[in-house]
Parts: sequence; structure tokens; C-alpha cells
Amino acid sequence: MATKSNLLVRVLPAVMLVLSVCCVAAEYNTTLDVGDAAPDWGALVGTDEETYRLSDFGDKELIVVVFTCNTCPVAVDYEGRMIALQKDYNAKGVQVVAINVNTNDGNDYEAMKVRAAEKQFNFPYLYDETQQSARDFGATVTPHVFVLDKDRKVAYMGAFDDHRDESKVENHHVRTAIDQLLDGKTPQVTETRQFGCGIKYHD
Amino acid sequence: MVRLPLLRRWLLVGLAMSCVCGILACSGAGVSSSDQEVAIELTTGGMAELQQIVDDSQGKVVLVDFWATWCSPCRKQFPHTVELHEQYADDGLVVVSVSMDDSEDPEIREQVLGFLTKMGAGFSNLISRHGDSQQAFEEFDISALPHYVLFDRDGKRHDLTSPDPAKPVTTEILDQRVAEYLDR
Repeated sequence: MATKSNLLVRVLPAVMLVLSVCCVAAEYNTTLDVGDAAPDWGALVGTDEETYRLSDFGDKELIVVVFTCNTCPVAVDYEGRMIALQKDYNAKGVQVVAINVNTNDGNDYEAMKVRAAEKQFNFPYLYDETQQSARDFGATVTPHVFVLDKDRKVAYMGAFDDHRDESKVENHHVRTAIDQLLDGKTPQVTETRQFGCGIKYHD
Repeated sequence: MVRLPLLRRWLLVGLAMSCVCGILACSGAGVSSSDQEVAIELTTGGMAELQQIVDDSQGKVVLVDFWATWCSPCRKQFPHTVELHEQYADDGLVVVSVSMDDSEDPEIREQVLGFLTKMGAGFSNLISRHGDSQQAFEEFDISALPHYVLFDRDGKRHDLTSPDPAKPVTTEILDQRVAEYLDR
């Protein structure tokens, strides 16, 4: 009996530790955790009328998936930063992929084409009217960013940076995570609070 | 010859009547507009200021409406928040609005105040000290707008969600939850 309870005393904390490590949910995402394999969004059509799969970007070092939309003023404020990111990191093998899952007024495919042309997006802007991709990623707002590493595991998720007003940004979360990943390191900050407009999920 | 002055007289009477009516209508409108013109105040604050309001409302239910001028669903549902205030203030509901707009921009502050005045938001109105930064969302522990929080009569916080947490909270859900917490 004594040995049995001793064993329990010894083993139980270990079991609990393993359980707690394996099952800790992400702080701001109830669906996906850092280190999880990126969900496959299947084939989504972009504003350039091309179809894009996650596997199409096999040659890229990192992928930055941004759930965004045409109408959320916060998301719109980040469009310029997404373009700059693609431009600055293009040569380093970083690929921005924007996905819009909102289907309310101003977010249809035609309106997306107009926006992509107006702003001269230098990255694919995909339309997912099924909204499945955002559900699988656990995206809750626009903009909501997921940096995928070379193995296409989530390496960082959350906000693009820490201020909607670009002139007031102090922490460039996504750029910092990318720099660290390209250096072969694990990002110091792997998750931050996403903020913006709630994604308008269907019934 | 005789008819004309008569007609004039009637015209005069008609004119006088319409003037009186006009004045009455005007004064009527004046009364109702002054009735609606509640002095709206906008206070810069954060979680500490919000918590202070909750603490000061001990024994009451506090509804917090997190909104922003840039959030169209928030603006759309705001009149409902005002209605809840008018309907349930006597039953112990305290309503607070928190604008997640840039509090340092005087123009935006004007817009916020203008909207609140138009809505007749005769309750405590805060504007986020840290504007619409990540820090502000972090401070209030929210991510998406619109967002509603209820503090029950014991001051315990309940973030309102819809049955599918991914979906926004509708005015129907808001009504149900407010009624539920007021009855407790």
C-alpha cells in the first residue's frame, strides 16, 4: 500500500504536468495553438482569379496569413503595412496571404477585386465565402494574423503590431517574429491579443 | 367691394391661426428637444475608472457597451443600449459606454461626443485612455467590437457571447441577459 501511494505521489504530478503542457489552450485563440499545424484552406480563389492552396507556397520560408476584409476600418488601416511587409521581406521568402471571409455589404468578390486593384496589393487576396478557413484558424477579428513557419506550423498569432495608428506603434509583433524565425530562432512572443472588428460569421 | 375685406379678414384669421399653430408647434418641439438634451459627459479612462463605476454601483447590474465611431455594428446597436438604460434604470441597471476611439485626437473626441449626444446617452460615457491600441483592448480584456459586458449585483464580470461564440451578440441576446441578471 505504502509503495503504491508513493508511486501515485511520484507519478501523479508528472502526469498532471504532461496533461497541463499538452492541453494548455492558447490565451486568445480557442481553436488553434502555437505549434499546431496550419489548417489547410483547400483551394481559394484570389482577386487575380487564380486559385491558391497552402501547398502552392512550398518554396516559401514563411507564410503570413492575414484574415482581413474590405470594410473594417482597423483592417483597412493595416493594408499599407501588409504591402510594406511583402515588399520588405519578399527576397527573404516571406509570403503574405490575405483571406476575406466576410460576406456582408462591401465584402463581395467584385468589391475585393476593386480594393486589390486600388491599393495595388502585392500579395494574393483570397475570398472564402464558406468562412471555413477562418473557423479552422480560430480567427475572431479582422485583422487577425498567423505566421506559419517552414513546417507550416503556427509560429506566431495575434495582432500585426500594437497600435492601429502606425505612427504610434512600439512593438512590431509580426516583423519581430519573422526576423527571429528567419534567424532560425523561436519567436520570443508567439501570441498577442488580436483586436479589431469581429468577423461576421454566418448562422 | 364687400367681399374682398371679408376674404381678407378670413385670410387674416387664417394667418393668425397658422401663426399660433406654428408657435405652438415650435414651442412643442422646443420642449421635447430640451427634454432629450441630456448633458453628455465624456471621461477619459481605463479599467480602473470602469471598475470604480462598478464599485459605486454596488447591488446593481452594470451593462458596459464597448463601441467605437469606426464600428458600424456598434453604432447600429447603440440606440438599443440607450433604450435598455431608459427601460431598466429604475430596476437597478447602470449603463456605461466605453468608446475605443483615439482619446487624444480632439476631432475624434468631438465625433464621439456628437454621437453620444445624438443618441441621448444619459449615462456614464468613457473613452479609452489608450485609444484604439492593442494596450487598450488588453486593458479591458476584449478583442472584437462590438462587445458587451455585464457586471452582476455582486460585481462579478460576465462577458456576453452568443450561443456560437464566433457570432456577435444581438440585441435579443442582450435583452435576455440583462433581464436575467436583473431578476437575480
